[in-house]
Amino acid sequence: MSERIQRQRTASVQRAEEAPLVVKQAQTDDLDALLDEIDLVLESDAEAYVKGFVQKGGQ
Amino acid sequence: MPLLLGTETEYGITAPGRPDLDAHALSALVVEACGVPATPVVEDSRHRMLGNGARFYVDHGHPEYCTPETTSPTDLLAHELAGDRIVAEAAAAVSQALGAPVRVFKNNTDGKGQSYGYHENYLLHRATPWEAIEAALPTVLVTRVVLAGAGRVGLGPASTHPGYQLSQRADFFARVSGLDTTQNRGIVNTRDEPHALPRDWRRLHVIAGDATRSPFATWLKVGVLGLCLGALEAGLLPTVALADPVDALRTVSRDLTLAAPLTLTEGTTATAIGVQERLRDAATTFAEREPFPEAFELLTGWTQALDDLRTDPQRTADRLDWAAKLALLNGYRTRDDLGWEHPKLAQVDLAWAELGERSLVTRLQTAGRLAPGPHAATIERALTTPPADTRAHTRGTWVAEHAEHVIAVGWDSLLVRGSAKALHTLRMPDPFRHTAVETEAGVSADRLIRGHDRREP
Repeated sequence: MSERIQRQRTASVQRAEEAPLVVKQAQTDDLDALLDEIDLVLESDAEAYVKGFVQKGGQ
Repeated sequence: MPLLLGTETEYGITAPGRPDLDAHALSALVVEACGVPATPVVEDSRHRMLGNGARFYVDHGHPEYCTPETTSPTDLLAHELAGDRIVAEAAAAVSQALGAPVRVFKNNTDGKGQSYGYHENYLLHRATPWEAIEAALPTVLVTRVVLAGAGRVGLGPASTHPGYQLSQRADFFARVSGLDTTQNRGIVNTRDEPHALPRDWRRLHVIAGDATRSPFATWLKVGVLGLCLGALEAGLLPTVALADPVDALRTVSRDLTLAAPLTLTEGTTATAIGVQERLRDAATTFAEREPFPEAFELLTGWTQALDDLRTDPQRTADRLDWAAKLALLNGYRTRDDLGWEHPKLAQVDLAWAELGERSLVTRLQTAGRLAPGPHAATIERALTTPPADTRAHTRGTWVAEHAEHVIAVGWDSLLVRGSAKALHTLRMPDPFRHTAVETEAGVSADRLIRGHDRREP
């Protein structure tokens, strides 16, 4: 990338630090532990949860 | 080029314990329960303007939130996330009042044949030929799906075939270009309501994108399109064009390998990633010539995402919705040996979109599997504070500080009553004016009326 874009960077880098959007986080837990945790949030009756979600339409 | 952008989200809504309340009634309750400063609900109108410059209303049986006008992808993201929170907190308040859960979802289909929108708006110069926009946009939007797809369990509008695809919206577009937004949708929407001086501006209304939950994906989605539109207006966008955009949208959405060749009008083929790389190169040239907000971060993030998608799409599971959702689904598929037709997978897809304390996205972020969004304080501020650098500042200030004087609020004007009871129309045809630096702070309504800049733009 050119110097021109690099020069523009200074101001926006501070913004980027405010909003750490691209920071890769250490993956702390293994996936199975997360799936177990999510299972506690999800209804036990998946079919009813999905079937009950009917929308009227929209744009 | 000055960037001006805003988004409109129609949220899915349901109250499983209250089948007597239809979608419109539920949406109206949620809009009434708005917990931030807003214009009052009057009679049958469920249209409210908020103290942060946004609009919150009922549309087609959904609560809809329109962000105020913003001038950077980072500001847009903060205001869109503020909208998610306002909707989630209003739904929680209604749940408490009804004694039954009211659930709100940031997605674009119920998986049973209905789709509802996530619309992006970009201000373009009137001088930019519409033909050039119409020619370039389908290719940009179709290939952007590899970055900005929210992921969906089910193929076909009513999920008649089991499977997974990148986009929520892909199955609901029937033609390349058109005005309709509820049926026979076109990838390019031809609506031309600038909400600004029509002599100078066009508002490009983009209806083909997905509502995304990953903050990074939302930021990149609007930033990439903003850069492409900048390059287009500067005459720098490559002439690469898909031969059949509607067919290509389905192909790209259903190709989890991202390797499908797309036929170009020039007779050759390219993958969606290949087309995106050409657009990225053009955007880089554009950003070398003209200032564009967050250009360096956007080009870096765009390039990194494309490189990772080329190497192994799963590398983007920490940033892009469709890849993050797929990683989760594949976890369940492996652990429980599930086929794509299993309702558990559709449940996870739906739960991905659910806002509020049950949010899966928050859990993934806490577990370090999904990039976090802006700091909580940034979103907190956007709940009540309009962007300082657009006319949203004036709109928000009137609503938050002088609500008793406000008769009507639109995007480009206000009707207010002074203390002597006279009515004043305050026009704001230039969205880049009536900003915080142009407006005296903490003064009376009469003084604001006197100070309103009436110069012709």
